Amino acid sequence: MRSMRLKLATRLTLLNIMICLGIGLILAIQFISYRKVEALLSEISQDHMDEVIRNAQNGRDLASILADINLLTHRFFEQDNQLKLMSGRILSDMTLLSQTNRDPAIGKQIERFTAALRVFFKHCGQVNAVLAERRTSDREMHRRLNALEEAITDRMIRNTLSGESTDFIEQLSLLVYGYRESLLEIGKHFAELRYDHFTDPFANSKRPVLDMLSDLKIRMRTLTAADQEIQVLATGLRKGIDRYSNAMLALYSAMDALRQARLAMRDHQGGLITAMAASDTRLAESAEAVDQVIKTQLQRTGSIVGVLALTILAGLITTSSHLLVKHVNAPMRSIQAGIANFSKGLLDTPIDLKRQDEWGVIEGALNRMATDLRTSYTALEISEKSYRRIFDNVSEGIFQTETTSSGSYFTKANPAMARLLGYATPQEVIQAYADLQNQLFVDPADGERLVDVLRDSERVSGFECQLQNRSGRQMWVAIGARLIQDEGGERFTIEGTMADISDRKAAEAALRESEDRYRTLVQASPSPIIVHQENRIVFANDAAVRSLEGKAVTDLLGRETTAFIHVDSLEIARERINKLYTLDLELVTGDKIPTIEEKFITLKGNTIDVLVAAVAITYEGQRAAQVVFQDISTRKRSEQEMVRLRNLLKNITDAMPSVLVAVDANARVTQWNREAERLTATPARYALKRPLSEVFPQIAEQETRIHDAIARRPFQPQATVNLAIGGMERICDIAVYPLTAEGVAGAVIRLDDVTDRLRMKEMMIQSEKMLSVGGLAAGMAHEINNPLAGILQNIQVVENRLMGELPSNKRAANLCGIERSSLTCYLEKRRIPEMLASVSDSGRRAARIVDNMLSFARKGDSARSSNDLATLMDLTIELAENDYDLKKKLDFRHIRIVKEYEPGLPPVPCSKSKIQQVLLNLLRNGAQAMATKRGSNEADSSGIPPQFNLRIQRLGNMARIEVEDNGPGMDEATCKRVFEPFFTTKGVGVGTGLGLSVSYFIITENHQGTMAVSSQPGKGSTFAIELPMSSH
Amino acid sequence: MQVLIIDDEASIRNSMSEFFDDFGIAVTAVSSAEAALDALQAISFDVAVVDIRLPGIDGDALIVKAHDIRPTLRFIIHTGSVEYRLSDALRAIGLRKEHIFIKPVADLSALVAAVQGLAS
Repeated sequence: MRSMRLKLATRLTLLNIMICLGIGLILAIQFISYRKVEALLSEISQDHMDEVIRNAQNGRDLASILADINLLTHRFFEQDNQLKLMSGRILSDMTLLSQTNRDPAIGKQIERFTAALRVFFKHCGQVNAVLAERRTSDREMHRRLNALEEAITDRMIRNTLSGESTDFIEQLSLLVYGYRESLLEIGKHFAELRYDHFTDPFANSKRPVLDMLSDLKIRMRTLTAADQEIQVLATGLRKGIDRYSNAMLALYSAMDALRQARLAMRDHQGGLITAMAASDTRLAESAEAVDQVIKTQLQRTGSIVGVLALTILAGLITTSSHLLVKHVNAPMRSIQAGIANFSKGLLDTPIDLKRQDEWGVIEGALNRMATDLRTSYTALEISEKSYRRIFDNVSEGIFQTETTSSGSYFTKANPAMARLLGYATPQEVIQAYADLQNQLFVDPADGERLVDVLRDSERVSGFECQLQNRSGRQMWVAIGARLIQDEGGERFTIEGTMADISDRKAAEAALRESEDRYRTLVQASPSPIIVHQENRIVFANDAAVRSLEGKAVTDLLGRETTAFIHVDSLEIARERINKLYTLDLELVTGDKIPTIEEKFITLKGNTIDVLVAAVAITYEGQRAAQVVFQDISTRKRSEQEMVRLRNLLKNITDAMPSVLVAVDANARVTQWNREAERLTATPARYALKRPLSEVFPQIAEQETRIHDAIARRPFQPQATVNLAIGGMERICDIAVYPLTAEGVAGAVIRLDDVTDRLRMKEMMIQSEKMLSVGGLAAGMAHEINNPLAGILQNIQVVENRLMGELPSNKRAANLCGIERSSLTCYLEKRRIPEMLASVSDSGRRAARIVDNMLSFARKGDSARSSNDLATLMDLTIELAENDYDLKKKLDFRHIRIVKEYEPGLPPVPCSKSKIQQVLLNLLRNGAQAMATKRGSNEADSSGIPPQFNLRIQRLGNMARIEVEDNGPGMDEATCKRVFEPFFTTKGVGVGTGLGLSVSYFIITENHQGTMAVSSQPGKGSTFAIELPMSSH
Repeated sequence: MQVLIIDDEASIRNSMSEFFDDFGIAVTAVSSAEAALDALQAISFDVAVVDIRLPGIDGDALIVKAHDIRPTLRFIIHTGSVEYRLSDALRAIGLRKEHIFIKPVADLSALVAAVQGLAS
């Protein structure tokens, strides 16, 4: 059967394809006819619409052009420029119109119309040319009239001057006036003429301007009676009128031509509009024809589609009924019979349809199923055997128990199970037990627990418990089992495996013991210890909890280690932790992770200083780090406190104005303050720890006292000693105090440099001395002055009476009979006058001493005035030069005086006489000193003459006076005492020793200035006085 | 010209009297203010040279009193006290600094000149 070879699906597909083809054909026909209609429609719409639009556009353009032409017709007069502009634009518009147009009939009309336009424009131009000619003529007429007027005026003047009659001339001038009036009239008239006048043939028949011109020409004949000159002008005028008339005639003919041209143009314009209307009518006709074609096409298409659809429907019904009967119903029955056979167990009888289509496939599948079923039964038997082998030979015990209300017993056991329990065969095991809970479990509670667990979760694995075997040996086993509850609830079955884990249990116990030992050890450690894994704390001992200020160990467990590390230490701590976790275990022990100081933060947020040691360990089978630390905050604080105290002590001792040196029991320096550094010029870093005798040898002689102090003897009282320090004699107070505090043996030496204080004291004593001298002097002065006055006055009277030329002397001599000359001779011989002079001199000196002493008592009693110091100095020099004293071998005039006065120094407020006294004193002392060096004030053996250098200069707000001599100078000791009262280096009788002290008093007390001396022995001395520039 | 010298120191009083006498000046010398006042009652002096520190009435008081008795009398003060200052009363009478001579006067001629100057 050939038809049976095709598959059912293929057949159905073929039927579908046929239906699709039929429908496709109908669709195609419809599509084609619609396309045709569409094409026709679009043809109409496209072409015809374009043309309609174009026609409308052209109509509009034409209307605009016609409007322009109309406008131009009434505007072009004498407007040549506008004419050219507008005509050009209209022509270009026409050209554009002809370009856009498609209709040849219209195109021809446009061409004609354009030609007529050109002619019209040309005539317009001609009209304008004629108009221009008329205007020129008009102007020329006016010009000629002007010339005529001038000639007439000229003539009139001439006639008047020559005495001729001017009547004629006057008449002429009136005529000319009339001519001008007429001419203006003509102009006005012309201006009133309109376009219609020229184009209307009826209006045209009257030509008023021409008439007026000819009239004017006739009136001008009068001028021929005039003289030659005027006649010439009159001829000109007449010619002008002729030209004007000609122009007017030409205008009429030009206007006529224009009118003709305009009419021609109108004709063509009408033609053009008619052509356009014809075009529109044609368009409408063609649209109607297309509509007819479309209707015909649609009718044809409809009939073709109807026939086709009927044919396809008939074919479809025939084919589908055939397929259903032959290829579906018959095979279905055969398959049903085959399946009935299989279900009866007849697997060896296959189904046979003899078909190659889908039914064939179903048949094959059913037959294969029967064969597979047969093969599986055989495989199952083989599998059963192999599982039994495993059951028998596996090392773990496999069991099944059953529990009923009467007891519990094994129902199955493998040989391994039997061995485990100490039996030879499984059979023995099954028979041996009747109450498993009590017989098998060392602790029956374990059995109960196992059942409970299984009841709860049905399955258990790794359940560890202790069993006893046949011989009573106890062993640890791990049980994996499941429980099967029988219906009814009383009976249940447990099946599973068990393994002997006694060895493992023993090992675990040992390990736990070791760990417990470690834990106890660490827990009891006084040092805080924590263990962390992956940066989380897994263990911490009590000390660690206390140290980190937690309440219980749970406060720390699970927390991040780094949370407890202060930010200052975080970086290094991270590095260390990293090392602990990453390096080889062997490498991170020992020196690799050194013990360092870090800062931790406790749970309460306090920062503590800690000493941290860390090692890598294995904790509960995993890599961990054990950290042992020690809170050293207290130690740190003590250290800081110690540093602070040390600094405080150093500051205190440095702040002391005394030298403070502390020594230990061996007299080695332990403290050396700044004052000690300054005085000995030995820095503390050098002095410390060295023997006192080495760094401060000057007080070596005090060693006994120091040793006494070190030996805890009582305080060694203060003593004043002279020490040579820095090449200078210093006076120092020294005191030694024993150090009595526990654990510190030694002494503190206090040394005060009292040199300056003593000097100050001496100065004060001296000052007081001076003041007491002053007070004494004031008291004494009166008492001394009175007797001195007695002495001196009496001496003066005696001298007067012995040697004076008094009248009473003569009288007394005469009375006594003594010759005056003999008396004088006698007195001279006995050297009485000399002695009297000596008495007088001594008296005066005593008076001077008293006066000088009184200087100490007088404070600022003398009036101050402004004095120029240079003048004062010069006056004083003069005074000194006059103070020539033979006895003292002083000749001031031999001293060279070098003056160095600063120019422009302002006057200084001072007591003139007092300052002069001071200066005189200085000059006198200097002169005396230079004299003692040389024996006289002549140049000495070295050839250097005695010389004063006198300087006056300004130093800030002080005036400075320097008196420098080149005398013998003074040593330092003398310099220091030179201002003391009654101190003198001069021989006895040379001076009182008051001069400089009085000077000093005057300058410092009376003038608030300063006075100082400097000297180099052998070279001279310089006294310097400074006086304030302004008085207080 | 009549000059009255008042000084309790005899050597001064006498030497001055002698010196003035040598220059032709009539001098009356007394040793106390009381005596001076008595003398003033009797004689019209031109100038009085007065010591200040006197037993009994002192020089200042004497000048005031003497001025009351003899308003035309002029005064020279001759004192050993270096700290002497003119009182306002004496200034009112017309005494000035140049009328004060401190003992010892180096040359009595100066004193004589002053007395003569006042008297004229």
